[in-house]
Amino acid sequence: MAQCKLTPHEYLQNAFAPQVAILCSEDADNLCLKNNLRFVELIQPFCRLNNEIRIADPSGNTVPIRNLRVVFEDMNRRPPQPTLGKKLLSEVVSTAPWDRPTTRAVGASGTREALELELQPTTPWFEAWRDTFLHVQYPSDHEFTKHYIACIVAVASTSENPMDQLNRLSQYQHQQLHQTPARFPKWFSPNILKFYLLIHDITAGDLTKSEQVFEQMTSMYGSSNCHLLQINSRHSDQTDVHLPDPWSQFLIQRASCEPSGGSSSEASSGTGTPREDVSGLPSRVTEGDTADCCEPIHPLSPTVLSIDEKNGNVDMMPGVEISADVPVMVNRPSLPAGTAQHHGGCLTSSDVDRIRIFVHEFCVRSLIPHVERQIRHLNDVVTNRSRSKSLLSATRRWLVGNKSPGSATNSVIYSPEATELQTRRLGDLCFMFGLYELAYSFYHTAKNDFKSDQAWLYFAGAQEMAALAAFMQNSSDYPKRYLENSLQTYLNVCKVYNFAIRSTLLSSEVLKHCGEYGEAAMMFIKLTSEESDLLSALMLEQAAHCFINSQRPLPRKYAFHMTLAGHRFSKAGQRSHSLRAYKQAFQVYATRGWVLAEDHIHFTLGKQAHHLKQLTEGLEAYNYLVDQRQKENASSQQSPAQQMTYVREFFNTFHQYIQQEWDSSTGVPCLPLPLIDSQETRVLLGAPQDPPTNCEWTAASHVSLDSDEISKDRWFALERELFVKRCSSMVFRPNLQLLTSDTPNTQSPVVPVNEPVVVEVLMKNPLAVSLMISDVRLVFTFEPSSNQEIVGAPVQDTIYPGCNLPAGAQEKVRLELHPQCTGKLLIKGVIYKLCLTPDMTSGVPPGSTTTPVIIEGQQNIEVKGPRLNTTSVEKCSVVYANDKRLEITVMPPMSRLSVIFHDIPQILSCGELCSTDVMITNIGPCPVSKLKLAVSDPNHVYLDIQEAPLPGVHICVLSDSETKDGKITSRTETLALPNGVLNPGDVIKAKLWLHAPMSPGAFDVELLFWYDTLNSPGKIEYRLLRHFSSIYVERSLSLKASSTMSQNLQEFIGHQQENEGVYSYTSNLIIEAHNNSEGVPDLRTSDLRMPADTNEVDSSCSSYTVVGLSGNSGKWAVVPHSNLQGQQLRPGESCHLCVKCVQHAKKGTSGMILSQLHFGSSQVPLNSWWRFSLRERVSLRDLLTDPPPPKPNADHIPPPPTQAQQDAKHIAAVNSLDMVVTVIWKGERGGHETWGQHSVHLKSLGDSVSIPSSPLIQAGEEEKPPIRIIPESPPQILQSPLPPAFKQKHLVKISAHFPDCMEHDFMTNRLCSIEFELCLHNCSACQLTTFLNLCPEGLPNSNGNVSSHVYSPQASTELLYVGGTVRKVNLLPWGHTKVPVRVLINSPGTYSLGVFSVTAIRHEAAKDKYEQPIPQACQLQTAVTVRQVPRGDHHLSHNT
Amino acid sequence: MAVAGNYYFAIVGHHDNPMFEMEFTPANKEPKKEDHRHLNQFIAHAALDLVDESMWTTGNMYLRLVDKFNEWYVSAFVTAGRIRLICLHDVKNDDGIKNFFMEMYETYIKHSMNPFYTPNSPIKSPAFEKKAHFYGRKYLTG
Repeated sequence: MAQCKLTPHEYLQNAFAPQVAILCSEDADNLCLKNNLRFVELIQPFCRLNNEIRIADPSGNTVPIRNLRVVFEDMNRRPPQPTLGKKLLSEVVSTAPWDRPTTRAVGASGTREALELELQPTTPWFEAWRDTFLHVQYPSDHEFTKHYIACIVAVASTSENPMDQLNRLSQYQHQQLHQTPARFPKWFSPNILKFYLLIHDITAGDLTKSEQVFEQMTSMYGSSNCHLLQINSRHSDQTDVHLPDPWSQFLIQRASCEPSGGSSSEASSGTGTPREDVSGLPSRVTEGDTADCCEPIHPLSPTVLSIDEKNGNVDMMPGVEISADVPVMVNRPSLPAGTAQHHGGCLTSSDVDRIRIFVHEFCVRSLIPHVERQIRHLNDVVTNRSRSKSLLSATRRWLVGNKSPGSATNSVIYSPEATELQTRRLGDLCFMFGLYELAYSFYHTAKNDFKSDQAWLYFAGAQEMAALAAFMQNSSDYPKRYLENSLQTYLNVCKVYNFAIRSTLLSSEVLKHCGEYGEAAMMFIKLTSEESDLLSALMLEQAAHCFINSQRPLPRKYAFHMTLAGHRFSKAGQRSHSLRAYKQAFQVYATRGWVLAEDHIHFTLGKQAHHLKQLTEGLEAYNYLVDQRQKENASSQQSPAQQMTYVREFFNTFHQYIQQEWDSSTGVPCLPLPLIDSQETRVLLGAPQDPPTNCEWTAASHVSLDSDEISKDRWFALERELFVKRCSSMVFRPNLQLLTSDTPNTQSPVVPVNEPVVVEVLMKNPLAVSLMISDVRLVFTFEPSSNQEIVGAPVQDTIYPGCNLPAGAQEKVRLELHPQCTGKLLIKGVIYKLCLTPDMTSGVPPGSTTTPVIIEGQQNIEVKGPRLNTTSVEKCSVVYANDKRLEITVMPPMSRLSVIFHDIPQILSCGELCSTDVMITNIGPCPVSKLKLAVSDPNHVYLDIQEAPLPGVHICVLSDSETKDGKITSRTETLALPNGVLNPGDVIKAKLWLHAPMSPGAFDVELLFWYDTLNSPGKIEYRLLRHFSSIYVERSLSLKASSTMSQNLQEFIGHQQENEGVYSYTSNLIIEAHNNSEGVPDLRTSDLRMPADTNEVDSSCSSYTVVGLSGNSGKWAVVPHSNLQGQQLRPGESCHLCVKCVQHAKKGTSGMILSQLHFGSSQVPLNSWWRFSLRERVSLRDLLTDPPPPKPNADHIPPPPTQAQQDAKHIAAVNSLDMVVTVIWKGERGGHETWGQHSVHLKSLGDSVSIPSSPLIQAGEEEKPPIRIIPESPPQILQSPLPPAFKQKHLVKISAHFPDCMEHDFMTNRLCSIEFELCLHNCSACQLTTFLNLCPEGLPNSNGNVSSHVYSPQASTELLYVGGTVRKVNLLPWGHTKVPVRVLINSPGTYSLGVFSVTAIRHEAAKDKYEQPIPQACQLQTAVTVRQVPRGDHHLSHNT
Repeated sequence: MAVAGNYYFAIVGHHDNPMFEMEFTPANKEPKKEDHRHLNQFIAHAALDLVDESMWTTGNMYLRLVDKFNEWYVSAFVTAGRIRLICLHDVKNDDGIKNFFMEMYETYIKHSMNPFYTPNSPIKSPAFEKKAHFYGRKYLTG
C-alpha cells in the first residue's frame, strides 16, 4: 500500500527536528572508534527521547512534547556536492531493500472488473531517498530549521589537556559562529547553546582524573551545560557480543559529508551577499541560470567515492583541504552494516544507558531551558518591533498594492536581525519544539510580512510552514491552499526546485493523511521533469501508489504511472526498480490485448532482467515477445525491424541462458519458435509402394502424406464393407495408415517391425522475420517388449537437414522412424536448431566474424482428439477425446502386398470399356491367406483373375451363380488365391476392367485391397492397400431407349413351350443413339482455319459405330425386327434402331436372359462387357451412408402373402419389362480401336429413358415444387397394394381371327353378317373377371352421328355387334377364352372391329363389389374390308 | 473543417480489451514514428479510469475531454452497452470528434448486429476499417 513507516505527524516532526552541532576532538573520536563508530554516530540511535518532556510557551503554559528528536550533526559536515549528491541518492535508492509485494484485490467499479494485483505495501527506497534528500539539503537563509540550535563540544578524558582542548574547540566554534561573511555551518542565532561533554573511556582512562577535569568544566561552564560520559566498559577483544546493533540502520544512509572547509569549491562561489553564501541553488537562481538549477542535486564532497575501497585512506580531491584543527576520521566503518563489522563492540548495556541518559540530560537540562529563553526573547523582540513595523508595512502595502507572486524577481534581502526573519525564526523554534499553535501565528504574521515585501521565497517558506503548523495542530483543518500556493511559488516564481520537492514530500504526506490521494498524485506528477530521471521515477511511482490507494482505486492510472516510473528508473540506471515497476504495471495490462503496450513492457523487462543477469526472467519476457501461440486474437503489430530486434535479443538471451543457467540434465529447453501446430501433425505408418522397375507399370498409389484427405471417409466406408462382410458382430474401427486430426485416433496405431513411421510436423513462422531451422529430429521414447534382445539402436531415426522459413511461411517437416524391434514407441516432440536467416541482401562481407547465434531447443507435440459432446459432463465442460496417434505399437513382421498396374489410361470416353493388367505381389516376409478387394464403384470397375468368356449365342440364360455373384451385388469381392495362400514373393496376375461412367468429367477409381497375414500374431488382423486414380471422361454418345407395348401376340419362340396357355407377348424397343462428343465434324475438313484445335479433336475419339445391342431381363429377350446395320456416327449425328422384345419362356423363375444382337459381322472382342451391363441393374446405396441395421431376427419368416398381395404382384408384373438395354459401340482414338457400351434400364413397358439425360430435360425439370417442411395433409396410407389404374390397363389382350377381306352382295342382302371369335388372353397370373361390352356408350361409333364426309381415311366403325353384347368372362391365370361374336354391316367398306371396350377386375375383388373394373387398353386393331361382290359371283366366307 | 492533427482511436470492450484501433494522421504529415505507437495504448488505457468516473456525471454518451497526458488530449464516448470509444488527439476538435464518435457508434452498432460477430471481441472487418478510415478523414484529419 506504499504506506510509510512513520505517520505524517512523526514525519513532519522528524523533518523539522532541532539540529545540534557536534564538535568533537580527535581523541574523543578515536575513543569512540573502538566501537567502529564516530562519536556522532555513536549517539545517533539515541537521539529520540522516549519519554514526554514539557516546554513552557512565552505565556508560561507548559506544553508536552512527545518523542522529541534531536538531530546531532558533525559541525564540520557539509552537504555534498551536486554530482556526488546525485550518486548518493541513487545509491540509497538502489540499496534499499524492499519487501515482497502483497496481493490485494481491487474491487470492480464502473466498467472495470475486479483485479488481483500484487502491490508494494511499502516503498522503503522512497523513504530512504526522502530522508537522504532532506539530509543532504543545504540550509537556507529563509528558514532556520536546518540551522544549529546548539553545539556540543566533546573531548576525551584521555587527552593531554582536556580543558585546553575544550577551550580551543569552543574558540573554534565561536569563530565559526561569528565569521563574516557567514558560511557553513549555519547557526540558528548568534546566541546558541553550548554544551560541554567529557568522554571517559572506562577501560583505558583514569576515572578520578576524569572527574577532576569534569569538576573544572562545571566550574567554568556551569553544571547544567556539562556532562561526563563514560563508555567502553569492556575490551574490544571480547567478542561475545549479544547486544543488538542499533547503529546499522543509521549507518546505511550515512552521508559522508566530509568537511570541506572554507575554501571548498562551492563556498568560493558565494561571495558578497550572505544570501549567495547560503547555498548554491538560490545563488544560481539570481544569476538566472535556470537550466542548471532544475536538478534536485546537492553538493557533496567527492572524497567519499573511494573511501570504502581504500579502507580508510581518504582519497582527497584536489582543491579540498582540511583544516588542521578539524578532526578527521581516519577509520571509517565499511558499509553496508550488518555484513562485515559489528558496531559498539566495547559497549555494555550500561554504557548504552549512559549515552541515553546523556542525551536526555542534554535535552531536558540544557536544551529545553535554552529554547524557552530564546522563545521568550524572540517573542519580546517580535512583539515590540511589529507594532512599529506594522505601520510601515501597511504603508508599503498601500503603495505597492497587493501583488500576487507573479513574475516578480526575488530581490528582497533581509538583514539577519530583521523583524520578519525574527518572526520566522520564532516560528521555526516553536514548530521544532511542538508549540504548533504558536508557530502558526508567527508563521502567519511572517507570511503576510514577506508577501507585502514581495520576498517570494521567504513568503513561500513561511506559508508552507504555516500550513504544516496548522496541520500538526489539528490535522483535519488546515489551509490546503497555502501548500499549493507555496509549491507554485517555489516552482514558478523562485524556481527553487529543492524546496519545491521538499514541499511536495511534506504536503503529499499531509494530503495522503487527509485521504486526498488524487491531489497528492497530481502534486507528485507536477514534479516530474525531463531532467532528473530518478526524481521523476520516484515521483511517478508515488503518484501511481496514490492512484491505487485512493478510495476509488484507479488501477489503470496506476499501471500507466508505474510504467512511466519504470521507464524513468531505467533511464536513471535503477534497473531492479525498473524491472519491479514494469512487472507491477504489467499485471493490469496482461491478457487484455494491448499488444503494443505489452510488447513494450516485455521488451523492457527482458532488457532489464538481462542486464541484471536474471536470465530466467529475461528469457521469459523475450519468450513472450516472440511467442505467438497465445496471441491468436492479437497478432504482433510490430514492424519487421522491431520483431527482428526481439528475436535477436531472444536468441542472445536464450544462448546465454543455456550456457550459464540451464541444467543440461533436465533435457533441452523449449523454444517458442517456430509455431508448431500439434493438431496438424500427421503420422504415416508403413512404407509407401515402391515404384516398379518397369516404367510402363505404375504402383498403387496407396496412402501418402501428399494425397488429399478429402475422400478419407470413402475409404473408411469401403473398409467397413469389407469388415462387415467378415465379422459383422464387431464394432468397426478403420485400420488407419495415415493418422491426422480427423481420423479416429482413440486406439494406438500399429506398425510392423522394419516398416517406417513417418511423422509430419507443420512448422509455421508467425513473425515477419525469416528463420532458419536445421537438424530437426524427433524426440521419442521406445519401450521394447520384454522378451527380446536388442542389438543396436531399437529405433533408427532420420534428421531433417533444415530449411529456411521466410516470414509467415510454413513448412511440413517429415521425419522417419524405423523401429527395429517390437515395443511401444512414443513420440514426444521435435528437437531442432534455430537461427536467424543470415541476411544476404545486407551485404555482410564474407569475412565478417559475426556468425548468427544458433540455439537448440525442443517443442513438445501434444495432440488431442475432438471435443466430446455426449454425456452431460462433457457437454457442460470442455472434454477432449484421447488421441493416441503419437503412441505407436510396433508389431511383429507382417505380410505386405505390392500392386502394380500396367498403364491405366488417363482419358476415356463416356461408356468406354478398357482393361489393364494388374500384378499383385506379396513382398512381405509372411504369407497372405486371404485377399479381398473393395471398389467404390463396382458398376464401373471390375477386377478379374480368371476370365469367364460368354457363349457367342444369340440368347443365353445366365444362371444365378453367374448373375448374383459378389461382383455384381456388392462392392466387395474375394479374390481367389492359388492354393489359398500367397507366399512371400508370389505374384498373381489379374485384369482390371474399367467402364467409364455416362457422365463426363472425372472418374475416380478407388480400389482397396484387403489382405491378412497367415497366422497373424497380433491384434491387427488385416492390412490394407489403396489405389486411387482419376480418369478424365469425355463425352461420347447419348442414348435414348423407349419401349411400347405391342398389341400383337407373338408366335411361340422355339418349341420349349410346355406350360400350356402361356403366350409370348411382344413389345417394341426404339433406340436412338446420338453422337454428342465435342469434336466438331467440320474441323477435320477445314483444319486450315482452326489448326490450333485439331489437337484436341485428335486426342479424343469423335466418331462411333454402333456394333451391337444386347438386353438382359428376367423374361424378355431382344430379337431383330429388321436387318440391322452398324452406322458410323460423326459428332452431331444420330441413328435409330428398332428391335422387338419377346417374352422368353424359360425354366424356373430365376436366372437372367441375356440376348445379344450383332450388326454385321463384327464380334465384340471384350469379354467383360456383359458384366457391366448386368451391373447396370444393380443400384448400390451410397457409399457414405450407414449400412442398414441388421435385421433383428434373421430367422423370422414373413407371413405368407395374402391373395390380394399376390394378385397385386401379378398385376404389377404384367407391365414390367425390367430390361437393361445395352448398345455396344466401337470408336477410335489415336489409331487404336476403342470399345464401349451404353446401357439403359427400362423398368416397365412404355418407359422412355435417355442417358445421359439431356440438358433440355434437366432444364425443364428445374421448376420444382416448394419444399414443405410440414406436409399439407397427412400422407395417405395406401390402402390397396395394387398399382394405380393406369398401370392395370394391359391385363387383358384380345385377338380375333377372321379374313382381312371378304365379299358380300349387298344388293341381295342388305345386311352382311360376320361371325368370328374374340379370344381374350389373361396376361397376368391372377384370375380375372372380364366384362366385354360390345356396344359401349362413349365410343365414337354412335349411330346418330353419321359422317358427312365422302371419304374417311379411317376405317369405319359403322357396324353393329349383335347377339349378346355385354359378356362376363372369367379368365384363369394366363388363360384365354374364346367368345363368339357376330357383326352386322350394311354397306361395303373397311370396318374397324375394335368398337368394344373391355374392363377387367380381379376375380376376388369382383365378388365383394369393392373395386371398380378397370378399362383395358386392348383394342382390336384389325380391320375388315367388305366388298360388293360382282354380280353373279357371291359367296360368303366365314372365318375358321 | 477539422484542424490537422494526429489522432488515435480505440474501441475498448468490457474487459478493458481493445476491440479496434486506428491512427489518423493528416495526409500531408509523416506518420508518427513506430516506436511511440505503444504510448497511445498506454494513454488510452490509463484514461479508462477517468472515463469510468466521468460517465456517471453526465447523461450524455459523449464525455468530451476526460484526460490529458503531455500533448495528448483524451476524449471519450460511452455507448449504452458500456463499450468505450476513446480518442487521443493533440489538437482541440470537439465537434469533429463528437461527430466522429457518433458515426463510429452507429457503425459499431451495425457491426455488432452481425450474428457472426462475437460481442466484445476484436473487430476484424475490412468494411468497418474502411468506414472508420472514411469518417476519420471526414471529421478528424480533414
